[in-house]
Amino acid sequence: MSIDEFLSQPLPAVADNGFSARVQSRIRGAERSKMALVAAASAIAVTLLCIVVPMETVSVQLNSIILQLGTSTALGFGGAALFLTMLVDRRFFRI
Amino acid sequence: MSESEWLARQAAGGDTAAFGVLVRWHQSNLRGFLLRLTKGNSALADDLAQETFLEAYRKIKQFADGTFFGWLCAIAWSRFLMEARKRKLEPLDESLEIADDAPEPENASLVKLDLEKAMAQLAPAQRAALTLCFALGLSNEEAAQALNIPLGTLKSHVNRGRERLAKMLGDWRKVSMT
Repeated sequence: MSIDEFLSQPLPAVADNGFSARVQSRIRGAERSKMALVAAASAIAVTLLCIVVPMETVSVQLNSIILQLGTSTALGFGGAALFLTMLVDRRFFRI
Repeated sequence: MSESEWLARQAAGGDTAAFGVLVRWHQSNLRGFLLRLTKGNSALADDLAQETFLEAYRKIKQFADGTFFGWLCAIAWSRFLMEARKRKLEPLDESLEIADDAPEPENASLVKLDLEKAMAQLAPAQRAALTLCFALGLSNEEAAQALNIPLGTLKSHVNRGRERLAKMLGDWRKVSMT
């Protein structure tokens, strides 16, 4: 057998023996750590926001705005149009 | 676009199951490549293979062109070099190649004509180049990209590696026949 024929022999197959499962497990662990970090960062950001922003004033104004929006005819028509468009898209175009 | 490259695009879009398929498909060849680089140290090869797949998952969005396996080998080679430097596994510099020690005639009975043993005598870059180009079937361009070296340097590694192997295997054969 020539050197090139020797070299061209495929590498011996390596049995999986749970290797792929261990890699997937580490990937899932890394994903969970990332999500936990994002959740912790979000919680800290919201907490800081609540401390800095005058929440009572903001919530009173928000309540007033929500009531106005809820009784708005224009918004009602707009929402219905959006809903119908989405329905048509899903039914006929299957995007 | 082959199936591996298509799955890599899916994985880049967040599909972890697609990445799992890629791991199952390529684990044998990748671990085999690392086994050869680490001269048969299966524990180290498996650790490096795991780290390679994890790094590939973290950087999957950066996979753009070429074959997925070639890209994987590039990460594996980089990981091997870092580990080899950290653990001082062997000289990485080709100019400090391991001395060609054909065994003395009285040790002929202990000599085995074994390609893996002969490969272990080569410099890491030569082992990697020969394995990528021959056993794993990467093109010269892909192999050069994986090893992050110019094409000319890759060809030089391949030619010198082949010459050394031919000499070693020839010498061992002569010794074993005396």
